[in-house]
Amino acid sequence: MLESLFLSLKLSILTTLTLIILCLFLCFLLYFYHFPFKQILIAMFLLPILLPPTVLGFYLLYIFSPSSPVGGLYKHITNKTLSFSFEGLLLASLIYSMPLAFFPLWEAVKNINVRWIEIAYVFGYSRIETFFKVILPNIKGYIISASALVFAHTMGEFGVVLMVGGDIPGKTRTISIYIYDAVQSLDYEEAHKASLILIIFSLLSLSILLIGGKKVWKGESYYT
Amino acid sequence: MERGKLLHLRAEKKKGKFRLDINLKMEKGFNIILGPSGCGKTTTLRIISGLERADRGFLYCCGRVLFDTEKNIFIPPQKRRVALVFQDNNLLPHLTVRENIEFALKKSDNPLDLNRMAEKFGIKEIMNRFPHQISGGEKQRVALLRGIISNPDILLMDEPFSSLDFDTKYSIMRMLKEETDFDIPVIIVTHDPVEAYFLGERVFFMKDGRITEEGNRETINKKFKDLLHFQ
Repeated sequence: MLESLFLSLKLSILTTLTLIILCLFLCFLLYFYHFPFKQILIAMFLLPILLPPTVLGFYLLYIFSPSSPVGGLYKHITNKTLSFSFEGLLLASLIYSMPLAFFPLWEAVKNINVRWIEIAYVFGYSRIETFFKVILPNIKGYIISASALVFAHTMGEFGVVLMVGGDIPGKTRTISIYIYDAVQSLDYEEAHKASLILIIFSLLSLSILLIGGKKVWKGESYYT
Repeated sequence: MERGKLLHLRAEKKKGKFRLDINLKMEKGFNIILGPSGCGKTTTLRIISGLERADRGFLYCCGRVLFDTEKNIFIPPQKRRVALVFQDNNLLPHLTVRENIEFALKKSDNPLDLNRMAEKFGIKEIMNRFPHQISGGEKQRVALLRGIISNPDILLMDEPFSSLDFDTKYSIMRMLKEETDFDIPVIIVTHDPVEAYFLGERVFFMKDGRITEEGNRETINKKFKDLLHFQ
């Protein structure tokens, strides 16, 4: 069980960190640059939240297979297959959890007052300084919310993980697959233990989402 | 540049159907740009601050070239030593009043004394509060002090009093006139002739992207006699 738990933690932490950085970059790009079909692009980022995990898992499995251009290119470069590997699992998690990071961060970027940025520029702050001293402190709450959501979602992910990663111990067997296996083999005690761990992690994530978001500003909260 | 003139702006800019074409020479003290909404007042301020670029023209201020399209010179806003005060949303919500003012001090070579100025502006008691904990009038006082404290070469104000009630507006304007002695060009854009009359040493009337007339208090008095009398 510990092996599956650590694998899930590794997958969740990597997914969370990557998605926060990637989605922040995408949100700023989409907000400040105007180009045709922008709304369609945003809809594509949000689409995974509406698709059943089996549909998404099926297509990802198809795309990751060595016979497809993406999977074939990956195999050509690394001599490994994307499907049924941790790397494939991570890529699938990034796609599947993307809406949960994109939604709050898109709201965060939309709530940034352009005047704050302009004031920083006029008072001599560079773009990078403005990002760290003005933008980041004002969207901290949204980043905490997005991180908690993505982390909890990835910890409990089942359908896509099973479709893309299969059930390889130490490689792709996450805690949720472990629970499934335990139930299948009628080992309810083990299933209970693993489920309890997942519930604790989910509760912790939700607490961070609510308490962390509340302490964003020393003075005012986004949630009260 | 002519003797006594500190700032010379010549700018042309096309924004869709709107065309800005101005030639402004300003002195130290209060320079008011008065005109209706959409006449190009804010665009003018943004060009002076460097937040927008003019298609053609130049800006000279205090012996420095801030931009000159012919010579391909453009000094970015970060290096222009200007300060900007907006109508609202001036203060950074995650910083206290003191931190908001100090935000302007970080890059300033020769700042004014913060505690003395805070006392002058009547905000000493609220220095540790956050922007959402103070009134609209106090917010504007803080924004004005933040603009002045860095000792800029140009102070720009975009409708700084529009969102305030009558009493607050005039108490801040009086304080600004009586408590501060500017030896830099202070450029205030407004659509309110009463504000312009109260503050204006020099007034530039603007319409459809052009300066139509230059004048002073008397010019406003003649043009808006009835309105001023009413107020």
